[in-house]
Amino acid sequence: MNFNPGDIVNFSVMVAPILFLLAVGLMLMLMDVLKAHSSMPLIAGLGLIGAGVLAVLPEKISSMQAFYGMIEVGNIAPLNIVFLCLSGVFTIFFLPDYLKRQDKPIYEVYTLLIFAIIGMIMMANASDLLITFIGLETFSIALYVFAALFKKEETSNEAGLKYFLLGAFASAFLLLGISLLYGLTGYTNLNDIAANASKLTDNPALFFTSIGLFIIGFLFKVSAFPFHNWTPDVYSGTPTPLAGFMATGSKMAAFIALGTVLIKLNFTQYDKLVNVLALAAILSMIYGNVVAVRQKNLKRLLAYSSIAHTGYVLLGLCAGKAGFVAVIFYMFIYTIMNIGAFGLVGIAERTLADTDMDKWKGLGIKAPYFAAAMSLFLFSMAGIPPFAGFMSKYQVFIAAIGSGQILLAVIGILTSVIAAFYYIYLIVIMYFGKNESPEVSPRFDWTTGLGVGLLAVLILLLGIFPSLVLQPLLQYMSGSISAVAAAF
Amino acid sequence: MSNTVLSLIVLLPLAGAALIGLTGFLNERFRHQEKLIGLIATSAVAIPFFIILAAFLQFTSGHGEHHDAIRFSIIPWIETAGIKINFSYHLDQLSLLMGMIVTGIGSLIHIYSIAYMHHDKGFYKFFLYLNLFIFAMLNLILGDNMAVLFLGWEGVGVCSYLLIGFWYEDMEKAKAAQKAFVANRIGDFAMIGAMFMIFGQVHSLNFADINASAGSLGDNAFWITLLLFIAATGKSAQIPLYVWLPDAMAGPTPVSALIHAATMVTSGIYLIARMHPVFNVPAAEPVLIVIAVVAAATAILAALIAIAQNDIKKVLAYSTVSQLGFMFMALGAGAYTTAIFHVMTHAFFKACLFLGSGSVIHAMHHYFDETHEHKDPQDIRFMGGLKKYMPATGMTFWISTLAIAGIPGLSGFFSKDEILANTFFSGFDHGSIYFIVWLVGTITACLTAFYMTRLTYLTFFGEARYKTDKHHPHESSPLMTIPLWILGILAVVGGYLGLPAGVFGHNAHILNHTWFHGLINNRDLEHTMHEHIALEYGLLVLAIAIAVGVVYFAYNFYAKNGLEGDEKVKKVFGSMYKWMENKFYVDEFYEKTILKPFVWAGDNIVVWFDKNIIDGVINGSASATAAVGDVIRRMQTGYVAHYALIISIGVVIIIGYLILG
Repeated sequence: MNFNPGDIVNFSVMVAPILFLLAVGLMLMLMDVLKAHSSMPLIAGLGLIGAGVLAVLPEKISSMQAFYGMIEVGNIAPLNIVFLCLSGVFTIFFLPDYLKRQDKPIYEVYTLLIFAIIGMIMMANASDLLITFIGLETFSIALYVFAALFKKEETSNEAGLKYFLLGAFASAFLLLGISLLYGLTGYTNLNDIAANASKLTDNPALFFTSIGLFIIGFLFKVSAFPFHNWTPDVYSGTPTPLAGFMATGSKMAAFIALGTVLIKLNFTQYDKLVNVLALAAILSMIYGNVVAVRQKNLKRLLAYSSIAHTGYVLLGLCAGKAGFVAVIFYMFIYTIMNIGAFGLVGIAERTLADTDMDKWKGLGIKAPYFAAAMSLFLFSMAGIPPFAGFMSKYQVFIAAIGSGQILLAVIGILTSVIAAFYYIYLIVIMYFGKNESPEVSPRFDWTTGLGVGLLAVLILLLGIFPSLVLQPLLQYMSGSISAVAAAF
Repeated sequence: MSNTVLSLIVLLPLAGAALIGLTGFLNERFRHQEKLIGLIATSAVAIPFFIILAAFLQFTSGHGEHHDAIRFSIIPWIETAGIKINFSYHLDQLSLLMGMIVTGIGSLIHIYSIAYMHHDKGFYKFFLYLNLFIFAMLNLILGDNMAVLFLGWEGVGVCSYLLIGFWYEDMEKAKAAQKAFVANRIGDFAMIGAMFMIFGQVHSLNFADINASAGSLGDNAFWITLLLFIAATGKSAQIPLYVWLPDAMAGPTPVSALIHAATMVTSGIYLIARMHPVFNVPAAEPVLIVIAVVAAATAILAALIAIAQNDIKKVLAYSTVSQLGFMFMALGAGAYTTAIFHVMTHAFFKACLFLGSGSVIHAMHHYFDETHEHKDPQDIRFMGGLKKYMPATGMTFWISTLAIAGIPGLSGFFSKDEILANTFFSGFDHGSIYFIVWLVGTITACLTAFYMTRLTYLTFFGEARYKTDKHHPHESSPLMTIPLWILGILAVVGGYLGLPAGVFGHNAHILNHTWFHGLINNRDLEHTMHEHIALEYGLLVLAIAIAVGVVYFAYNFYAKNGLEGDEKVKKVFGSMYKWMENKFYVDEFYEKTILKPFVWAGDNIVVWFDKNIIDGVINGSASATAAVGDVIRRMQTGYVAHYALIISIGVVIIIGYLILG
C-alpha cells in the first residue's frame, strides 16, 4: 500500500466520532484539574450524544475501512457507535447521585467512561484483530478502575483485584488465539484472513485451537458459563451504576466483536464451534437462572441474571449471520433495562445503605414511583410483553429456531419460566412485604428521575414498536451481513 | 362502519385507563371524585359495547349465508424483513359474541364497582386497572392474529395480577398473586412454543392463514395442539395449573366476577375454538381425548372440593374451575360451539353469583362493623336467612343457582345438557373413553346441584346465625342490585339461543345452525345422534331428573339439618372429606415436589460445584496450583485461585473437544 498524506485527513474524517470522543475525554481531564466539576456529567453526556450524531450523520455506506484496513467505518459500524454511546449516556444519569455516597466525590469516572467507550467502539468496529485486542484492553483497564473505584472499601478493592487478575488471565487466551490465527494465515486483518480461509483448514487442530481460544477470551468478557464466576463478586463490589455499565456496554461491544469475527470466518459451517457456543448458552441460561433464584443480595441477583441473559444472546449468536441482528437488538434492550435496574438498586443502596432484598419490603407503598419503575424493568427482564424484553427474547428465539436450534430455543423458553419466578419475587417483596422499621425510602434527584423516566419510556416504546430499532439495524446491515427474517 | 369508529372499540378502554391514570396521578383531588371516575371508566367500556352491538346488527342484516368478518386495524406494529404484523382486528361471529359478553358484562361490573369500591382509597387505581383489563381482553378476543392475541393474553395476566394483589396487606396474598403469575407463565411459554411451531410451518400468524393450512400441518398438529392446550390450562385453570384461581379470590369481588369467572378464564376456551381447524386434524385426535379426560378430572375434583368449603367466594371459585372443566369437556368432544355456548351462559350466571356474593360480603362487613364483632364476612357459617334483609340479592342468587344446577328452562340446563350429550355420543365414534368422561361429567353435575343449593341455603334461607335484635344486614344500593337483576334475567333466558336440536328440530339451535354456521365446524355427531335419537331423549330426561332431584333433596336436607347437615355429609364421604376440605393437598404437593427442589438446587449447586469439582481438582493437582495459590492466598481472596482453575478447566475441555471431538 502507498502512503499518501491526504489519507490521514480522509481517515480522520471517517473516524470522526472516535476523535471527537477523545477530545471530550481530554477536555474532561482538564475540567477535573480546573475544578469545574459540576458540569462534567453534562459535558460527558453531550459528548457521547454528539459522537453518536456524528456517526450517523453521513449517508450510510456499505463496508469500508479506514487506516488501511484497521477499522470498519461502513456497514453497521455507525449504529454500533450509537448503541455504545447510548449505554454511556444511560449510565451517566445515575452517576452524580450515586457518587455522593463517598465523602469526596470521584470525578475521574466521567473521563474513564469516555475512554472506555472509545475502547469499546474500537473493538466492536475493528477489522483487524490487533485493533480488536487493543480496544479490548483499553476499555478493560477502565473497567478495572471502575471496579476498584472506592479505594477505602474492602469489597471494591477486592472486586478490582479479582477482575484484573482474571481479566489478564483471559486476555492471554485471546492473544494466543490471535497469534495462532496469524501463524496460520500470515494476516491479522479480518478481510485478509477471510480471503485466505482455505489456509485455515490446512491444519484443523491449530485452526480450532486458535479460534477456540479467541472465543474463550470473549466468553470470559461476556461472563458465559464456565467463565462466569468472577461476575457476582465483581458486580457486587463495583459501584452499582458502573456495574450496570459493565454488564451491558462492555458485553454489547464484546458480542458485536465476537459476532463480526465469527461471521467473517463463516463459523456456522463448523459444527463444533456452534456446539461450543450452544453448550455455553445452555449452561449459562440454566446456571444463571437457577442460582439467581436463591440470591438475597440484589447485586448478586442481577449478576446471576446477567449470566443468564448472556446465555440468551449466545443462543442468538449460534444462529450465525441470521441471528446477528437479534444479538445486537437483544443487547441494546438489555442495556436499557439493566442499566435502569442497576441504577435503581444503586439509589436504594445509597439511601438504605444495603443491597439486601429484605430492605426492599414495602417500598411499593413508601416509594411508589421507585417501585413502579423497578417493576417495569423487572417485568421486561422476565420477558413479558408488551415490554421490550419480550421482543428481544422473541427475536433470539426465532433466530435460533430458524437455524434449526430447536433444543436451544426450548431450553431458553423453559429457563425463562424460572427467571420469571425470581424477578416477580422481587416485585412481590416490594408490594406485599411488610417492613418493620420506618426507614428512609429511596428518592430520585432530578437527573436520576429523568434517566429512569427515559429508560422506562424506551422499554415501553420499543416493546410496542421494536421496528424503531430493528428497521435501522436491518437497513445498515443490508450490505454484507444479510438480515434475519424476523417473525411477527 | 368506518375504521375509525371500529378502532374506538379497542382504543376507548385504553383512553379511559390513560385519562384516569394520568389525572389521578397528577391531581390529588380527582382521586376522590368517585362519580366522575366511575362515569369515565364505565363509558369507556359501555360505548365499545354499543359499537359492537351496532356491528352485530350490521353483520346479521348482511346478505345471504356467507358473512365476511368486519375488519379494522390501528397501526402497524412489527415490520422486519419478510414479515409484517399489524394491530389488526376482526369481528366475525365468534369475536362478536365474545366481544358483547366482555363489554356487556364488563359495563355492568363497572357500574356495580362504583358502589362496591365506594370510599376505597385506591378507587381510581381500581378503575384504571379495570379499564386496562378490558383493553387487553379486547385485544385477546378481537385480534386477527396470534401476536395480537398473545399481547392481550399477557396483558390480561398482568392486570389480573395487579387486581388480585389490589389490597396488598400480607405476604399470603402476595404469594397468591405470585402463584397466579408463575402458573400463567408456564402456560404462556407453551403458547410461545406453539406460536413458533406454527410460524415455522405456516409462515404466518394470522388465524385465517393458520386455519386455512391446518390440513398441511400433519403430525405437527399433535404438538401444536398439545402446547395450545397447556397454554389454555394456565389461563383457564385446569389441572395441573388450576391452583392459582381459588387463591385469586383475595382480590375485590367485582374482579372475581369479571376476570375470574366471566371473561379472562374463558380465554383458553376461546383460543381452542378460534383455532379449532388445527384440532380437527386427525393427528390431533389424541389431544382431544387428553383434553376431555383432564377436563373431566378437573371438573369432579373441583366440585368435590367445593362441597367442603365454607368461604362463599371459595365455593364459587372451585365451582368456576369445575364449570371450566365442563367447557373443556365440550372442546374435547370436538363440540367447539357448545363450549362457547357454555362460556356465554356461565358468564351470565356466574357473574351474577359472584356479584351477589359481593353484595352479601359488603352487607356482612357493615353488619359486623356495626356490632363490633370480629368475624369473617365471607364465612357462610355466620350467615343464614339473608333473603329477608336482602331480597334482590337473594332472589337473583337463587335464580343463578338454579341455572348452574341445570333446572330445565334456565340457561345452564341447555348448555350443560348439550355438553354431556356431545361427550356421550362421541363415545360411539371416537373411543369409549368418552363414555367415562360423560359419566364423570354427570356425577359432577349432581355434585354441582348439591353444593350450589347448599351454598344458597346456608346463606339466604333458614335461621339467621347472627343477632338481629338491634342491627341487621342491609340490601345493597341500586347501583349493585340493578346489574344483578340484568344478569339474573340473562341467566334465565340465555339458553334459548341453543335449544337441543334433536328434540326441537335442526333450526332451534340458533347458535349452531345459524350463527356459527360456516365459521366453526364441530366434529360431526349429527348422524350418530340421529341413529340414537331415543338415547338423546333419555339423556335429557336424566339431566332433568338429576337437577330437579338433587336440588330438591339438598334444599330439604339443609332445611332439616341446618349447619348440622355438613356433619352428615362428612360421614357420607368418610375419610375423603378431610382431603376435600384441604383441597386434596395439591398446593402442598406442588410445594414439595416442584418449588423445594428448585430452591434446593439453587442453594446447593454452587456448594456442590465448589466441593466436588474444584476441591477434587485442587487436591489432585495440588502441586500445580501451589505456585499460583501461594501468591493469591496472601491476598486473602482464596477464591480467585478457584476461579482461575475453573476457567482453565473450561479452556481444556473446550479446546480438547475442538481438537479431538
